[in-house]
Amino acid sequence: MQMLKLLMLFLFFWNIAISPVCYGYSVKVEEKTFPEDSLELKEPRYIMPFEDKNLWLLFMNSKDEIVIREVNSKAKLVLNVGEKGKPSELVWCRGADSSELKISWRAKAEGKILLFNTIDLKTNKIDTPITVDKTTEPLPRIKLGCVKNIVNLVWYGERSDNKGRKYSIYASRSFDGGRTFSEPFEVTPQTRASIYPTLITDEKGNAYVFTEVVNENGREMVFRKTTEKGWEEPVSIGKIGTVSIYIRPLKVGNRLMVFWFNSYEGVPVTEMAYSDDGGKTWQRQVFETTRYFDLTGMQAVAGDNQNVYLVLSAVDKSKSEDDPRKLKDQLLFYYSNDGGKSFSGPINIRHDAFGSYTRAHLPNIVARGKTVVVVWNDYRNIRANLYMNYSTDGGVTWQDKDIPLEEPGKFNTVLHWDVNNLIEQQGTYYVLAHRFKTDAMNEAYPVLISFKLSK
Amino acid sequence: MSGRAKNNFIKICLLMILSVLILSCSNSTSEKKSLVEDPGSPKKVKMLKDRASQFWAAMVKGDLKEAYKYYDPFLRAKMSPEEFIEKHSAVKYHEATVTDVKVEGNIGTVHVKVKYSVPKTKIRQRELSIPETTTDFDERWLFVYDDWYKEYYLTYFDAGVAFY
Repeated sequence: MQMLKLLMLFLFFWNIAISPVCYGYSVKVEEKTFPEDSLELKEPRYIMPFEDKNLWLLFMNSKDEIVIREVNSKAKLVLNVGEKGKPSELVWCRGADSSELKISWRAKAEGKILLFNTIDLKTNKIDTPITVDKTTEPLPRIKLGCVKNIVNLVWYGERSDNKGRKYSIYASRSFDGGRTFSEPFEVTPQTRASIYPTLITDEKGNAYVFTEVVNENGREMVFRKTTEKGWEEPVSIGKIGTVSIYIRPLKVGNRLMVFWFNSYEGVPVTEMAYSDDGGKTWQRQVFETTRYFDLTGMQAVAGDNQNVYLVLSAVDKSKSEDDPRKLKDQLLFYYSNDGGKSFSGPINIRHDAFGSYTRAHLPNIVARGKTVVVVWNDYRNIRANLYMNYSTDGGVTWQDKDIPLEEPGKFNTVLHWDVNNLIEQQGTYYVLAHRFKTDAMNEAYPVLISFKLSK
Repeated sequence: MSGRAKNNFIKICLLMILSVLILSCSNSTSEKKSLVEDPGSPKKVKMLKDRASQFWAAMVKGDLKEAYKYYDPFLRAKMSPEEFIEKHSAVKYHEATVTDVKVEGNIGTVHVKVKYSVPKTKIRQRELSIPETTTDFDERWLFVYDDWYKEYYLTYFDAGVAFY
């Protein structure tokens, strides 16, 4: 009898809480919701896989707490207990020990400060945060990378110089796992303005920064790197238009590449450049098929050293006023099978007969070799839903039907506008989004959706 | 429990788990399945024509409280019925006929012919009135999970509440 009771309890729990649902398709989907957490919607949030099985979420809640939550047990750690100032922006990387988590954020109290902390997820020990910088007046655009005991931090600051307030990119490095950091280094000192920091940290801990700079000659895309010997001189990749938000760097084998979205006299277009000599010289390419496409999302990933993928969402400004595509975002996918030297034309990965009337945007992407999976926000059901499609041949062909990752039309579930929150762990895919409590869409909680591809 | 009973018990357990798994994979085709993935069956088209006709019947009756229920859930989440009635009571509808409907997935286009008037009313210190006038127009309806709803759209601002 006792066993029967346990079995009934198990079945009840399985059925209402974690049962895989298929939504009429062959892909089994599970979801975990965290209605106890109210997310700060503008701020980034992340899935953090540890030791190949545990998943943790990192986010900021509406009480200005920086929360680390274990997915299975729902155990909660708060990182900034007792810390003064409103936190904003949030970045993380894994430390030398796989259970060690390193997090940086910006806070505004009496002044603007950049903070850094280390957490051991085995012991749940949280160190006292250290102040990396308060001299550059850091703003909420921060990038963080770690390899072994090297920690690279790059951020956007507005410290004044003798000509007044100056917007520039700064960096600081640690070689002792984040216990101490170097003085802030101005990565773009020769510029009048530079506002979008990016960062790649390679396996040796070298940092690579790409950023748009504005100077007397106009606008340029600039590359700068640092090794154990220090920062090298900046290299101009070339003149560019006005960048809006999206600069995505990538390192594929020894090839460095950067994708960016800019506009020339109001005409938007996406471009890229790559270097095979460590950043000394660059080859540029224009994605001509993106001309007039005003971007609302961009992610670039590599499946391996040959297969590189770019996915965009954008509205087509070239359409006439009465064409809904002038207002409704669509998805554009490109693949490269030569490591990013050349790319395909745009591939349609969304399959909706009436798609021109509704938006598809904020694509998230993950790839392993020729298998590439894209999850995006789709409004075909009027409410914001997550849909997925995948390719197993390097992005050339896709499933005929897009796969909904939740009950179509029931909820408003939204991806973050910037962070790529789709990961693969041992054959299971996880995507982190937020789900609004009502159609007023002013309060939301995290939802973690997982699925496996059908063979 | 004997060995045989134990075996039977385990078999029953496995069968039950299997049935739950099968059910959970097929429960999206339950009896009351949403028509949200229906591209435009006659049933979905008829639903739209009925809903639009009911909405306009309420408008002609001057029953704004009833008409409010037909608006999209994004509006209703942000505007109370009282606020809606206060903002929309100036125009009187005398006749309304739904003459055509078109369904493209979850987007519905309804063609309506109406006779309306605006009795003397003051808007920002200016007096305004419109005599009985007949006009016809297209309006957009949205299928949101369980039914068709009229999109709340402010033509003057070229903006709705629903973001899709």
